[in-house]
Amino acid sequence: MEEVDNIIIHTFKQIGCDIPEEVSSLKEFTTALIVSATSKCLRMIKEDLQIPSVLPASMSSRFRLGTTLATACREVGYRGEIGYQTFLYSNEAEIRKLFMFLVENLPKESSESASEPLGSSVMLNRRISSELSKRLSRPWTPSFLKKNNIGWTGGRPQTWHREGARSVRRFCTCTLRIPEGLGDLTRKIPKDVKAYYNNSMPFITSQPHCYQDIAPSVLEENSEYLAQKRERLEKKIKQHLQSELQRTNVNAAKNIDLSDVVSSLSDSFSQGAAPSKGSRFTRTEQLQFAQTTEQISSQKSKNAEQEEIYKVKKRSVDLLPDAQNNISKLQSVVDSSAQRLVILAQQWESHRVPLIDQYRELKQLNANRVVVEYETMRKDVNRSAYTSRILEIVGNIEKQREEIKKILIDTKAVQKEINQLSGKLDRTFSVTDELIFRDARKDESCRKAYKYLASLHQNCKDLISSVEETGLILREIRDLEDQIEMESQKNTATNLERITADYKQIKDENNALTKKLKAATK
Amino acid sequence: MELSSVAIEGVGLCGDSTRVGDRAFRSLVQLTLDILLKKKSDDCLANDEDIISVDNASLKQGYAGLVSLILEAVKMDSDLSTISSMLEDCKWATDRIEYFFKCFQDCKPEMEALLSRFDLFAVLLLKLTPEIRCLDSLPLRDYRKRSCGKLSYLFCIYIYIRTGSSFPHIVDVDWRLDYYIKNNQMEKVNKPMYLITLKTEESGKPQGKDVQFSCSMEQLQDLVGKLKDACKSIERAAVN
Repeated sequence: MEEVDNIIIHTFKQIGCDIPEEVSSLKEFTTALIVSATSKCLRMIKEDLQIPSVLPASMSSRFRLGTTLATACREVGYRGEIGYQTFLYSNEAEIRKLFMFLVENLPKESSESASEPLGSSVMLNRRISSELSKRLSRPWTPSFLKKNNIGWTGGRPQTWHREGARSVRRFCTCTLRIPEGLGDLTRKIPKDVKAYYNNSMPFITSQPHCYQDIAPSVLEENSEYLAQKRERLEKKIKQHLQSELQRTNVNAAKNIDLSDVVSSLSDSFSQGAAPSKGSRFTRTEQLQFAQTTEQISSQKSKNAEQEEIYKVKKRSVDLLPDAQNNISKLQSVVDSSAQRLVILAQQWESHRVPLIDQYRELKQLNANRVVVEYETMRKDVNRSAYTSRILEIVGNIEKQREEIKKILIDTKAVQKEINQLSGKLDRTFSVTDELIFRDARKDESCRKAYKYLASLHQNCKDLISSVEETGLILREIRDLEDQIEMESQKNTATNLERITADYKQIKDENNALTKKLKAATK
Repeated sequence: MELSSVAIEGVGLCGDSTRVGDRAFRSLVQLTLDILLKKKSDDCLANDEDIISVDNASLKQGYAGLVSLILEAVKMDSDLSTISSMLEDCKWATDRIEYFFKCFQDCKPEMEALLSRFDLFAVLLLKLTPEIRCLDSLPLRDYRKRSCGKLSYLFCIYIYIRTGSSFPHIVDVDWRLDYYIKNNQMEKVNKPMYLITLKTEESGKPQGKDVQFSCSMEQLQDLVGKLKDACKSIERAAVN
């Protein structure tokens, strides 16, 4: 039982209930602790249950809290008997059963999807699997019940699925003619074209040969137009890039900022490059631009170096005329800077020492924390110990079962023997009884013998019956002792005292409330 | 979702309240959807009293634009935001956008069912033929997958091009159990024999060919076992 308690307490600590360190078994759980642990577990199992985890002071709200906890546990699926008394007037066995149930039903760590990558392929797979499961759950209908091979299910909006291939058609397209330019009022459309548009041109849906080809033709027309547009765009981008490259190659020495070039490109094509082919172009343009950027950056660094050298030389040339003064000044400057260095070094030393001490302390703390974590980790590793113990227990139970079987066989054999012996006894007695009775009528000693036989038989019968009764009573004693132990575990006496105290408290609270109500209504 | 410029112009015409009044707009949208779902023919466009007010050439271009918009929206399974942004670019008023979207949503399942009957798979295969080259980029240990994938791919394309239709679909099955008693060489055979007829459907043909065969019980058990395996793999895919 201690291991079960340990596991339960450990799990509670993991999910965040603060259980004090001295509590090591379920016997020591107070009502407040039970309530807070249960409400935390329930909240983890079902997210939408709002149960306070603190035991309120007034008795009536405690009672209400107990009933809500009980109904919540029953909702989650607990099968045993549960009520407010389980929480407020608890007994160890019931609490243990309840906690075991709750701990088993806590959501497993692995199934919590913390951050699943919601990539488009994952979404597509999910849609495919949901569609497949929907179709699998539909009942089969024969093909003549589906018009055009489409089966409809559900209410508004209905969902459809296709089975069979009879009404599948080829994707046939034909060219379509649409009037153009009527949205633009400034464009002049020639008179005869306009007359054709107005009078003779058929509607777009009448142009394909058969009704089924309307959709393919329209879709194909659209995609053709888009493909042509894309090609034209790519050609334009290519030309522009080539012209820009020519210009940047010429102007490399002038350090033209390449970002300007790229932004000018993007400005002139506000519609943006075509997605797939454009990537190839960006790669080539990146390569070209990379070379020029390298050249430019190397030039820049060389320039900077040259500048530095030039500055130093200029300064020294300036100082040359007033040489002596300048040399002494420079000497003093050098001395003062050396002194400053010394002072700074001292200050740094004074700072360094406390920092190093702090650093060492933190290292120690870290090491401690790591050790503590390691110890808590060891508890998880205890699972192998638990499993080995469980297997041991299972082995023991097997052995016990074997022993019980053997005992049962022995008992049966003993019973058979008893039956045989009692049968033999009856038969022997009846035979001797008859024999002696026959002679008893004539002989006096025979009559005495007969009386002795009868009394012997009676006494032995009494002995046997008393032995049986003793056995019965011993068994009853054992049962009663078990019952006593069970009842004593329920703490009925202490609970009764607590219940009467709480009942008095509720009565007082009710009286106070009625007084307040009367005072308010007056 | 992108439309050709002529179609966009047509859609813009539909939203222009000087060319297409409100009542004309509503009946135009309704009639277009009805014509596409084959509930009416497009003569009623010319005869409808509200649409008579629109001049013929603009009506034809607007109608064509609307048809393109509806079919593209169904093909791309667009939601309200995509469609409304495109319609706002074409300068449609908000109430027209809402009305159009409501009618569109009501008819969307039927339009999807309509579009599904096209053998778009064949079109996709032909358009994706350059992507066969991407199979070359698979790593070497998928060599077998690569070659098998390519072969089956090319085979499907060949079938499509030659016959214009996919393989026949099985839709129903009839079975008959015979008991084979004797024949001229054996006095007593006593074997059960199954006669199975698989009813099929093919695209474009009104009556499919039936596939008939006879098999012993073990062979039938084998077949049913393979079908059950196929079902299980689909269920596994449905669960994941």
